[in-house]
Amino acid sequence: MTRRLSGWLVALVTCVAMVALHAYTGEFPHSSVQQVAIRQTGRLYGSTITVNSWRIGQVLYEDDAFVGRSGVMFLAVNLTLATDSAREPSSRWQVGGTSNGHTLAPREGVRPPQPGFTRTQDVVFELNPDDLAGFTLTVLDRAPIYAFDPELWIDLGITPQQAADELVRNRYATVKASEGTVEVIR
Amino acid sequence: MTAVRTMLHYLNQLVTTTGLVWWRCLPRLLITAMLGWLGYRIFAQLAAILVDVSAWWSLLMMSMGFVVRLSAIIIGLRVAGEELQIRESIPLPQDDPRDASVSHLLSRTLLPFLGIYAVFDTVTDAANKIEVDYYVFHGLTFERPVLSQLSPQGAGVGVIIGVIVGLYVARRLVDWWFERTGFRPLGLVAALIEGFFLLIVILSGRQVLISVSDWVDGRNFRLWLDYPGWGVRQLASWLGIDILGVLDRLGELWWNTIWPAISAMVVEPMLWLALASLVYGTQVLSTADLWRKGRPVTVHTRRSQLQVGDRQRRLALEFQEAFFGDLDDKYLPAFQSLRLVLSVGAPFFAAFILCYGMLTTGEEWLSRAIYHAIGGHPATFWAVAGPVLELPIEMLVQPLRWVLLATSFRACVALFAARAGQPEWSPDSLAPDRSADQTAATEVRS
Repeated sequence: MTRRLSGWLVALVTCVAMVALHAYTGEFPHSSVQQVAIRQTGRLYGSTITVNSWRIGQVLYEDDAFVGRSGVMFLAVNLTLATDSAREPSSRWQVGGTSNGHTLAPREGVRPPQPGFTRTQDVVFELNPDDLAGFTLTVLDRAPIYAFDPELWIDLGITPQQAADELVRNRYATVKASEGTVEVIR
Repeated sequence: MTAVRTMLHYLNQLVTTTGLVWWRCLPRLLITAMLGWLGYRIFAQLAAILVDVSAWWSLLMMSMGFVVRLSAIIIGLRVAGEELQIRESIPLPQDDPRDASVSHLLSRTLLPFLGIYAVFDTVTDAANKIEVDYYVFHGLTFERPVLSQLSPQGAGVGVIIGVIVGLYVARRLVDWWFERTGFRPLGLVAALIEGFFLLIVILSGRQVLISVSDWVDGRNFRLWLDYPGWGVRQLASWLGIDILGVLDRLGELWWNTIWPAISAMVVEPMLWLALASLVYGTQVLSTADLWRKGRPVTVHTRRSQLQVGDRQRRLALEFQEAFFGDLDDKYLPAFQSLRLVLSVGAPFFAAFILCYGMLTTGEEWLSRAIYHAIGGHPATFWAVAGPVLELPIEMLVQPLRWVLLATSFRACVALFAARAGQPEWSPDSLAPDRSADQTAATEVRS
């Protein structure tokens, strides 16, 4: 009886292990991820994205218009976007942020500029101060139907020490974000 | 520890025998896998092209593609089975009258095969792929219904039922003609009609189920079903528990993570092994036999014990042959095959699940690695490159899967024979040693 039970126990453990392996495999991203650091340029088909800087604060202005005061804090990430003159820009960018296993959505989405143009703008997230360290900006060019799409993971390079220092300095500061203006690529 | 040791022993034998047989049969298996892939792809592309003409033509092409794919699986399993001498190890009489031709096997295995594909949504995925290919090459449009013409809303319930009944009658007529003449191509025609018939049933049936569900949701009595839920919710809220949130999270975990994993890693290998046993032919019997014995007949039962009885029974048997022929041909063998697979013991079951799971995971990882190496591209690129990239993966993994199924089935039969009082069977006897197998087969028959 014990022998029979131990046999089924082994089978049960094997099944659980295989189920776990399948679940782990399912967690692999369904996109081609390119890791990029701050101030490095990443490419999504015909467009490029460069993260220039980031700022935090509790009060947000967008192009000199008061937007609001956050109960937590705002993070504004400054980006430079450019689209090659010969390529049609995508209209399906999915911009987000990840930190400490949380997925964050920006206040407003980002669209690539028209071919031959560049634009420098801010993308703003409202987040918990604990999520500042290790924040990563993600930009996915999602096809309208399933495809193995390219995705940029742009690490802002914020260490816990840097995050702590910045929170001491600018936790209650005012963030002035800009929607940006387009310029011709020269 | 004994159970773990036994499992590891089976695992070792399954892996080494599978590797050995795979290597010995490699050229034949590779050619079979390649032709199967090529045939399926050609018909899938034709299906995508013919959508513009008619969804019915497209579905016919798709069913042909599935028949080609199943033919490749049957041939691959038979190649591995010949090397392992499975036929000799099954306790069948010398003058076994069953037709073992590929066309006959096709007609016997098509229903469980498409059933397995339907359970794991492969049929629906293939239909979706046709739509995706159509949209990629013709642009995304909602004006042109692609396969929705096949739904009862699109084509009309009368047309769908008429086509299903017509195909059923046509198949039974071709079956009858085939049995009278024995002309082999008729078996293939019957398989093609059956494939077409089953695909329509699967795709339209899915829509019918959705329609029924929508209809129920729109009725007033649907609210009655919600009352117990509201009561439980109220009770839980008094206890400070967000029961809906808990149930949502549990449901999400079950339907998104656990159930797909159980399907892919436990249910799927068992069903494939049952399909393999249909190909190799376990001694499963008909409804007539069930009636005679009053219980399912097992592998031990001899055919000589199964004579048809008096006149009344014979009449009844002719009636059941006309109306329950499919039950005899497909459902019962599939059920008995599953019984055989499940009855061989837990350590072997664990070893098989482990082997199959590693093979499936390896296939997935290899596919991901290739995609990752190529990088992100637009959908139009993948519509062309995707099928081509499938080929190397298919040629590596499919032959290994066929051989693993053949090896496992042979082990099942040997274990079953050992339990039935045959000389003690050990996992070492899995290796395809021809002289030993001949002796064992003779012993089992006697």
